[in-house]
Amino acid sequence: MTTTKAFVAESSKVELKAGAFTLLKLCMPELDADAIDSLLCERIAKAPEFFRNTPIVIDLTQSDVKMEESDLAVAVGAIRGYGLIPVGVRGGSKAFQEQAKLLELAVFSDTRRAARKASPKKPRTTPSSMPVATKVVDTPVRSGQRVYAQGDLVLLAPVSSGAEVVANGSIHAYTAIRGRVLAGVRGDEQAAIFCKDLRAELVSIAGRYKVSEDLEARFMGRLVRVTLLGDALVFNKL
Amino acid sequence: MSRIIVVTSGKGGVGKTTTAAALAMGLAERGFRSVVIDFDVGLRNLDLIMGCERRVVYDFINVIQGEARLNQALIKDKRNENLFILPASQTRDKEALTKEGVGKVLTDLSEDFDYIVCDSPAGIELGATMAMYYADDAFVVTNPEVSSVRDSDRMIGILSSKSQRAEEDREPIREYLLLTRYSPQRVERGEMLSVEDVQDILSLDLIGVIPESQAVLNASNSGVPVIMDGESTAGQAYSDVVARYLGEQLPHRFLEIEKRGLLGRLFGG
Repeated sequence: MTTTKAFVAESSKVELKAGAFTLLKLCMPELDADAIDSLLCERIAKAPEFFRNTPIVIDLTQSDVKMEESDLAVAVGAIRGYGLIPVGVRGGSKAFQEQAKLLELAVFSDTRRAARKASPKKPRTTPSSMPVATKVVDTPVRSGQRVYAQGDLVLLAPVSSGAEVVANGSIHAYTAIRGRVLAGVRGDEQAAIFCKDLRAELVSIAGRYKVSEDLEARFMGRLVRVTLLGDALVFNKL
Repeated sequence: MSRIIVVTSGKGGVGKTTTAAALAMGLAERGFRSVVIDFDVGLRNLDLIMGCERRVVYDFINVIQGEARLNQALIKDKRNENLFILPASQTRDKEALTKEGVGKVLTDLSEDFDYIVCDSPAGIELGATMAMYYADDAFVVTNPEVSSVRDSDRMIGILSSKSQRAEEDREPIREYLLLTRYSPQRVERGEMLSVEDVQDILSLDLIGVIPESQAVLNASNSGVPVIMDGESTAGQAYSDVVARYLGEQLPHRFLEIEKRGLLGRLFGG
């Protein structure tokens, strides 16, 4: 009994998790031990510390040439000779990958090719790493006016009935909102709405919305946080 | 340097023309040369409220279109030599108002007058936007009920974006909230928004509260601006508004239900 407990306690410290690492790749059209030799000789001379004990993957995804099975062992030997640690291969023929397994090297799946096939319509520019500035509005948003923020929106003056405040990110209102308030309009489900005095005509996060008729009376006129849980808007008094 | 005041509201029937007439007369009574212009082309009313409807020969549109000189169209008030009226045309429509034409007339008037009061038509269409375009100050006339408050709110938004001051990125139009037809009794019964409610929704400086009063209707019918009726609460409230506009500090009156004394209760109607 005690042993089982100990085992459970012990094993709970062990966890299996996913992690992403950046690995060095050796890319070449064909496996040529001499070519590898001269390349590494030149590079490593420039930065010997950088390459010491660095894991490396032999990448043949750009190669169409069939390999001699013995070539891999020779290449691995050459790489090890320069202090690098070959950890796996990618691409190449079936026989080449079998050879890698015999040398106890991992075979990485050719995700690059798969990804390219899966999303040909994905040239959508990823948002630049620069965070979008928060927009601060300190004059009342009047009926018929509309304010849009690319990132978060901070409101320091009231939003009137018939006005609309819209943000890709979250919306923070330090006054009353009587108009329509829409956060995460481009689908950000993590967006939230914080409002000191919620009297909105419509509340929406990432396309899910509630009109004022459906809002519970106990949240009206209160300091409220609105978040999205699954498909439901969740209201919390703060 | 003259100042151009627009009296506006969005919603109709809230008391814009009454206010414009009272304001112009109040300023004239204090010695300022004032002119009040009716921008409600096609539905003119100002001439009736000012009691000069039978003296209209030429109008604002005639001047804009060069059919009459400004001096021919201006009507001099019989009660106060500082006050002039520029009536609207009843036979044209608002399309006759052009930005250049209105600008020219206002520039010419500003050479002669201290205050130019523009009586805006209801709505947010051409007549209303023309009336506000060149304004320095705006009186936003609002009744204490939700539709009027919302329309005023819309109007304030337009004031801040579609005026010449906004377009030239100058100091914005000064906006004043004027609450009219206020009835403390009805507020107490919950039938009307209170002063605090309206101020809270519009977040604007309150320049005055005009109580609901029979005197306003009587004044309109007889063509005498209500500000001249010093006996009435509405007349006194408008005098306060003019004083506050000119920089005096006065407490707001007529916000509470009038307590009737014993004699009033015994003999009052």
